[in-house]
Amino acid sequence: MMFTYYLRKTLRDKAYIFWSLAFPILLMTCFNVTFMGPAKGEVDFKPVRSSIIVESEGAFAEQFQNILLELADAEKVKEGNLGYDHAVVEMIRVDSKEDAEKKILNKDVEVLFLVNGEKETIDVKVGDGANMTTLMVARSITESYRRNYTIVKDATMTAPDKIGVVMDSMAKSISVMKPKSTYLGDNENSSNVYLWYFYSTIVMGMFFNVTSGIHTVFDIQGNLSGYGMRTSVSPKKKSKILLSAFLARYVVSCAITFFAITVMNRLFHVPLGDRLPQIILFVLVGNLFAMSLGSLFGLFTKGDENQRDNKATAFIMISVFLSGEMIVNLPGLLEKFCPIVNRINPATIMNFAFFRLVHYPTLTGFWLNMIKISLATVVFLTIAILKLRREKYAAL
Amino acid sequence: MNEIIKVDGLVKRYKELIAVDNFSMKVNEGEILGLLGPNGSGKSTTINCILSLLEYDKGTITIMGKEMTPKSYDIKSKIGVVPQEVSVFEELTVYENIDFFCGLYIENKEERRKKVQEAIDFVGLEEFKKFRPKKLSGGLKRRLNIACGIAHKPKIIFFDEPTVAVDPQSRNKILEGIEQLRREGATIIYTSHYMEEVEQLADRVIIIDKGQLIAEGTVDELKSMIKKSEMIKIEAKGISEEDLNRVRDLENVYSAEYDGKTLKIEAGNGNNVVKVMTMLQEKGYRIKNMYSEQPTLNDVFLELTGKELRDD
Repeated sequence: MMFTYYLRKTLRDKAYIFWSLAFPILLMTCFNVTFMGPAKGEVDFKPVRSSIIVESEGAFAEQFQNILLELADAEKVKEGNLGYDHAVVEMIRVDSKEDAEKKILNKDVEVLFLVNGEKETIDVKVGDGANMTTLMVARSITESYRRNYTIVKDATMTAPDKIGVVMDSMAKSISVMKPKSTYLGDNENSSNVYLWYFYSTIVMGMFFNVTSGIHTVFDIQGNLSGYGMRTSVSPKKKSKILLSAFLARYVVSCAITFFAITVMNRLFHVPLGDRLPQIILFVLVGNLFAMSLGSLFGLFTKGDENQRDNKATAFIMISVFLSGEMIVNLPGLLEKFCPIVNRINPATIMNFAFFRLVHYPTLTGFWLNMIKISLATVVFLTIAILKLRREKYAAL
Repeated sequence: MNEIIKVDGLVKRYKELIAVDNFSMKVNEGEILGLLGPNGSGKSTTINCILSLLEYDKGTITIMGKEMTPKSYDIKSKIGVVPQEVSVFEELTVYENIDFFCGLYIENKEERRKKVQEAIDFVGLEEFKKFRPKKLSGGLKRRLNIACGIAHKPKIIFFDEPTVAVDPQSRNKILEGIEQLRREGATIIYTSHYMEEVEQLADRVIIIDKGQLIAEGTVDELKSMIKKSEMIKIEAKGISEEDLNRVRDLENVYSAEYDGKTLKIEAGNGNNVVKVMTMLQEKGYRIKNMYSEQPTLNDVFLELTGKELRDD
């Protein structure tokens, strides 16, 4: 009975339905009209203009240089079954770090790989000439290399006699993101970037469920609302009421996200890849995260329900803006000047997860982001439940 | 009479502030108890402690002979609450709202349907039962608020200022409804700072201020606790200082003030009006108008605490 009523209540909440469903679809329609032309198949992706600076020598750096050279060789790329019929990178020679930075400023170089052979690290620097796609390609190269290098190292330790075979297969097993787009815009180089807007819009819609978390807290908390007082005084166990209220909203929020994703894919032809189970997981975790964050907003901010909603909405807007919803290159710029924002901003983490899920050959990055979001969800929910259990109705 | 609620030595502190200070009270089964006090006097805190919504520092609370705790689900099932603010879901209709809150107490759908309909009839919302709350007037919303609190037919009902910002027609309807609930056997704890309502409804009244019990008894008992029992106002011209002093000297007269137009006299029990009128007429004063006001609970509160009951 309670679940049904909470379900009805959520479905009739016009503001919630607007912000989490209608607004994202409207926004996607606008993006479609503004940025997209008729469907023309895959993007004619051009090799990423890259340079490499080796800060300290070592096997790690040496092998990475070799990999880059192979990725710059069209024939070898074709042999490697990466899905490209041309080079992935175009190596631009630079004499020093300063020279590289100058070339980045002049937009001659899009991506600079700073490799430290001793520490076994690769720092990726992108310039204004780079777009989201180049950043993604560069990242996928480094991620794939790191993973393979670890395998090589392990092989060195366990089977030193097979090192030659392993090294040989390493170059072939590098996987690189293949930019895919159903559309071509005016600017071929940046057409794929616009997909980011769509993924970001889906994430924004999910994040509006922060308000659902707030409303759930208000529904059961005696010191926050009169109906919360009523439910607290009733003989129904608070945990049962909480579960009904939370589940009803969660079901609606997930259904809305699935619907929005379907619209994005079917109506606007934005690719979704073929990883349906992971997409389902992404939606389930994303909505749970938003609601858990909302419950913290409900419990720890001040003001009435509307004021807390407004604060949460402001937070969502900032988070979504920083993730590139309005300026697609913003995460790239932040990566350059303040990478910590990309690491902690939930909308960026979710956007990258979604993008990687659809466009990356491997799922490592996606799983890492999912783990981050899941951990945050568990922490937020634990705090919220502890607070809800201890909270007493205090009003003079 | 059976004691249905007993509060003994209740103390509730918020850090340095003592919200309820060694407060004791009892509520008899079937009575309407008026809990009267200004804003911030500790009424709501006391009620919230009784309802186990709030932990308290000292004291005991028993309801129907059992200690009340947050897990006293059997006691909670016999309690109804009508909060001060209209506490209903805007997205649900009148019927759905009542059904939802009734459903927190009654699982059986058929039984609930019957009780929800009775509650709708009780508050007179039959023609509005498919309306959403936002389409109802303030008074109708208040009625809905009440219906949500009483639909499950509780034995004990807490009303927290149910008539705030309500038009006179709805107000009367609400007060009549509360009387009827009592006639049907409910025990009612009525919290308000509207003394007229408490005077009209309550069998017994408890006056609370700064978390302490100031006085308790029936309305008449409370009025008899204070010296003043009558305020007499007489409109007459030219009363001399000498005659004013004569009025002051009359038996049972506590004070007399004259502003050149109206003579105001505070007097105790006795046939005061006749005495004053007789004296003034004997002195040849022409009396234009005369009023006599009986003391109110506000006067009781004023005399016991030195301040007005209503601070708004």
